Amino acid sequence: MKIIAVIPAYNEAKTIGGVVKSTLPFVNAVYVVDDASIDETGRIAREQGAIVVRHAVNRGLGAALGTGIRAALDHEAECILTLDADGQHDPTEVPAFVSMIERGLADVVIGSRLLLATGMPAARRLANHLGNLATFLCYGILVTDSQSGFRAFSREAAAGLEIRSNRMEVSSEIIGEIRRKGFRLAEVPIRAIYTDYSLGKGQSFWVGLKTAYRLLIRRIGR
Amino acid sequence: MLTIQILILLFVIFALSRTFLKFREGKLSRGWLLLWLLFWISVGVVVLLPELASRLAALVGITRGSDLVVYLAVITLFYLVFRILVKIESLEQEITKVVRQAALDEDRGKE
Repeated sequence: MKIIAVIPAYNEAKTIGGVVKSTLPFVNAVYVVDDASIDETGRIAREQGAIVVRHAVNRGLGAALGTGIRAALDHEAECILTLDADGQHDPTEVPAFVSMIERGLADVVIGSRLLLATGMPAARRLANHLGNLATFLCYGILVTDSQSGFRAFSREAAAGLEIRSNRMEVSSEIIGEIRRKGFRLAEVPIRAIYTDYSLGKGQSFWVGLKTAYRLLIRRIGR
Repeated sequence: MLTIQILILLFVIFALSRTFLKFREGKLSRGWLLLWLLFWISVGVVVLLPELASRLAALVGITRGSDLVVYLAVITLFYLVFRILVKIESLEQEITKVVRQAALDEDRGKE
């Protein structure tokens, strides 16, 4: 089965190299979508062996994911992984995702940081629960980690989901789309790797609020 | 005539001249020219004949003519803002489409 990892990245020069390098052994190809980074993200990713697709202007996480998934589909991927560029995800867990898709147990697999009680800071946990609540209110599915960027899609799911979000509300929209199109969703436990870097980068309360607002608008618009 | 009437009338004349100017420059189509002319002339009429507003207001059950004007203005503004937000959303989608296409073309071109 051809497995392609899609990693959307915006100014992650510090971590992208390591993420690409450690992900490559578990997949056939790594596609990094450089969302108009102003640092060396694209160059470093390419040096580590990723295929880099670059946006001319910054469009946001959702748009970058859409582009990456489109590129992966164009390259005949049969299983598409998505991972974060900041090193929060442990690529050694990729096989767990792939195995579920391969065995046909699910169309979409989402990694949940909350299935194992692994040192997630309290503030993050609260933000996550709020995100889960927002996703439930908008789309009627309650998942344990709606904002998780560690996902796997079968080819049909990747091709069938209509993602319109440009920014961070995409995570919730994906879950909504899974339900709307009748795909099977499964969760697998994942480790969340928190470093000073990724914690420092953390999305603020205001970003969360803005994302919730955008999610609401997106939902009403549907 | 009240001062406010004079001031608004002066502004209406100014707005009308600007509208004609933009039309002459080709920045406004004939349709829009007509629409804006209608709008500004209506403003002028209501300002010159405030009893008109009062009459209309009485027709729909409001006491003051100026209240009616404000209600209509606010409703219109909300509607226009709604239209603008929808347009912006549509533009965002289009921009992403173009950026995505360019990115994918560049990717395909490399093969």
